[in-house]
Amino acid sequence: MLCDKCKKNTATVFYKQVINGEVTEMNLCADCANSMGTKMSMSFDNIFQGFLDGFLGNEVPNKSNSHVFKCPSCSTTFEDFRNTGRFGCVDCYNTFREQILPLLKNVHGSNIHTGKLPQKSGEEFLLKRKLEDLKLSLRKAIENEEYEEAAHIRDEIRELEGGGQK
Amino acid sequence: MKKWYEDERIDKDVVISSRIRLARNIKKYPFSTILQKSDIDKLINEVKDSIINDSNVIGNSFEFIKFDDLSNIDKYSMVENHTVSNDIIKKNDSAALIKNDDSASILINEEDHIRIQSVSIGNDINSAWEFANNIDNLIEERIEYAFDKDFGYLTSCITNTGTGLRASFMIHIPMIEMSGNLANISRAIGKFGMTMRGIYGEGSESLGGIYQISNQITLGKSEKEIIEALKSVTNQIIEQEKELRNNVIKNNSAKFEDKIYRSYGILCSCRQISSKEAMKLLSDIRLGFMTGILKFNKPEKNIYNIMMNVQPGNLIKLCGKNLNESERDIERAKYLNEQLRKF
Repeated sequence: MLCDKCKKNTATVFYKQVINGEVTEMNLCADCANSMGTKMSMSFDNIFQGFLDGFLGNEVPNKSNSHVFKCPSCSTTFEDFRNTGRFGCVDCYNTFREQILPLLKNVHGSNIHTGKLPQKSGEEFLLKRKLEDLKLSLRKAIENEEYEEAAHIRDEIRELEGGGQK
Repeated sequence: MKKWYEDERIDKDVVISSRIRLARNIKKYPFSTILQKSDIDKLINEVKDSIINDSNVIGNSFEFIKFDDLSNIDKYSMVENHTVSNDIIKKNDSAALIKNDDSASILINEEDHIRIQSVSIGNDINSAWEFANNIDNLIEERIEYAFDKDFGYLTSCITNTGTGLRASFMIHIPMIEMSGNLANISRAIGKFGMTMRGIYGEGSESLGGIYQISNQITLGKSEKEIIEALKSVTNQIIEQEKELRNNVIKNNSAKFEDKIYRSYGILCSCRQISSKEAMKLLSDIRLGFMTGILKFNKPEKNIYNIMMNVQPGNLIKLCGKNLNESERDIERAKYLNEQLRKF
C-alpha cells in the first residue's frame, strides 16, 4: 500500500484520529508520519483514547448524557477518563465499575485481582478469596463425582463461613 | 557510599539489572493528577514519616529529597542512572526517598501517590521483589492504601491496576540486535503480555544494545506468577544471545575480534564522540570482555557505569560545568580515553 500523503513510499504507519467522534484514517510512510510532527505525536493519551474508542465503540456515553457519568467525589466524568486515560480518585473505580469491567478484561485478560492483599485489612479479603477457591473446588469435585472429597470441602466451607460470622 | 551501578559484578551477565516497581495510592486522597497543594504536602510528609521514623532501622539508609530543590543537572543525572523516573522530575511538588546506594527509591506524587522501586545487580529479581515488598509493608503500617476487593491496588491509570507491579530486566543483547531478530522477539513476547523497550523506557530508542523487558499485565495474575513468567521469557532471550555469541566466536572469530578491537581503538583515541556512538562502541567492549576476546586489564569502572557516565547529565556533573553539545562530545572523548587507555 502506498502512502496516502506522498503517494511514493510504502505506507508503514496506520494513523487513526478521533476528535469528537469524527474519524480520520490515513496510511503513511515513515517519512510523512515524521514530517507531520506534533500533529502526529503518538502520546499515551492518543493511543489510549484510540483504544477506548475502538473498544467501546458506541457504548461510550456521548457528550449529551456524560453528566450522568460523573464521580461524586472528584467530579471526574467518563469523558475525562476517556480523554486522559486517568481516573481522579478511588471512587471513580466504583462510579465507572460497569464501564471498566470489560475494559480491564481487554487490557489485562482479567478483571479480578489475585495478587498481594494489604496486610492490615487483608484478612477479610483473604477469607473471601479462600471461600471462592473452595467453592470452585467443590463444584469440580461434584462434577468429577468425587463425593468424599466434596464432603470434605463442604465441611471446610461451613467452618470458614461459621468462623466469619462469629 | 558505593552505588549499586558501580559494582564490578554488573559486567558478568547478559542481564545488567533486575527491577521491581510497585504503584500505590493512599485511600483518603484524590489521585495525583488532581491533588491540591495542601494535600500534596500532607501526602509527602506521611510517606516520608512511614519510612524515616524512630521505630525502623531501614529508614536510616534513605535520604529525603524534594525535586523542586534540585538543579536540572542533578535531576537528569538521576534519570540517567535510573534512580528516578523521567516523569517525576517534570512534575512540580514531587519528592522522593532515595536509598544511599541508589538501589531503591520511593517516588512521591508521580503519576500515583507512591511508586516503590527496587533494583538488584544481574539476574536476581527475587531480591529486588523482597526489598520492594518489605518497603510496601512498612509504608502500609502507617498508611491505608486504595484497594478494591476485585480490582486490587487502585492506580490512576487502569494499565497498572491490580498488583501495581512492573517487573523488568535490563538486558544487553547486542548479538540479537545485530542478527535482525529483535522485531520477531518483541512480537513474540507481546503475546505473553510483555514488552521490550529501549534503555530509557517508554518511547526511548535503544542505545548500546541494551533493552528493558517487562510485564504489561498487572491484573489477574499474582506477583509471583508475573515474575516467574517474565523470568522464563527473559531466560530464553538470554540463551539465544549466548548461542549467537558462541556461534560467532566459533565461525567468524577473526572478523568479530577485529570489530571489537576497532571499537576499543576508537574509544581510546577519539577526540570527540556523540553519546550514541559511544554507547555503540562501549557495547562492543562489554561484549569483548564477556566473551574473553578482550584479554587485558578491564577498566576500573564497569562498562555499564561508563555507559551511564557518558550521558549528557552525568557528563556535565562530572566536569562540574555547563557544556553545550559539541563541548560535551569533546569531554566525553577525553573521559573515555582516560577510562579505557590503560596499557
